[in-house]
Amino acid sequence: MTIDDEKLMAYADGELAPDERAQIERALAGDATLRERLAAHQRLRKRLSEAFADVMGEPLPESLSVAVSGAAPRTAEVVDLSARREARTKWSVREWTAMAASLAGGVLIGFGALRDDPALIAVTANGMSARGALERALDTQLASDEAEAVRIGLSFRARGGGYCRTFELNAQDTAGIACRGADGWNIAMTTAHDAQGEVRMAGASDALLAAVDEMIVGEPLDAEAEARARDGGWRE
Amino acid sequence: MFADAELGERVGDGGEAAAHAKLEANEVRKAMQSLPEEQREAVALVCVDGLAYREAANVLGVPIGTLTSRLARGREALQRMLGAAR
Repeated sequence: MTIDDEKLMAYADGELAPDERAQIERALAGDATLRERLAAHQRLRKRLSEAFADVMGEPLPESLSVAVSGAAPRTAEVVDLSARREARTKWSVREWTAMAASLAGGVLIGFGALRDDPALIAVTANGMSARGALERALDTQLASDEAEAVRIGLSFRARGGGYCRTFELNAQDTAGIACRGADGWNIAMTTAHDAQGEVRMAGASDALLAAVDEMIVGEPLDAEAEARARDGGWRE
Repeated sequence: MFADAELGERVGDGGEAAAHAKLEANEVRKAMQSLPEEQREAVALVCVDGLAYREAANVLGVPIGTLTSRLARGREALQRMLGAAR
């Protein structure tokens, strides 16, 4: 069986469904050349993330780097998790800014398929922040509220102070964590589901919960504390 | 200097390791600059920023198949330029 490079790359990136992954792993077990091709993908990825991490220089804000380093799934299901985790750790606010500038000069990015809808996440000089319905939901919606475009999950206090909340964008297969900053909600991480459905969804919510686990101080807010924090405008 | 001390590069003692890391970073960035923009964006979002394919496709506003083919072509070109060693 031959494995084409695109599939091998997707495997290296942790993007394959379990059955395809198993197929690749069977092939890898008996094929040293294939293992070397996989290693080349992993090395390249590492070199890229290191080369650009070096340029950025500046460390991420504590809360963000914690969130981001916790973003990779904890299971041993993909070979290059460490590389992926590393890439996430170095996920840079400044890189995002540069990228936004290079994308047709656009500052607002419509996340997901509903690209005619107003953007929910904007790339600003300070990184990604919530806009539109997402911003409104983070400001006002409680976990127990009827979800429309956005479902709110856990609210909690993060290390370094400040509130963070997990969210799901219903139409767009994207979930994430937003943390309240001085001038709005910063997106600490996002994770996307894919067409493979539940397995990936489980993986995505694991990643999210692992990140919450890294960030949280104490327990998630209960309904009463959540409502109080909202009424206080998510200030300290 | 055959094996990079992973931490050594970052500690930045101003020594050879730091200089080596800088050269290495320059080489990689130069290779990235030479890619067609579409491929560079795909590679940057996935390999540098660590986005999932779906997220990167969303950000670029392209179907996921387009994203993966740009990504594959970009990486192939980078591997050609940078060599498989190291």
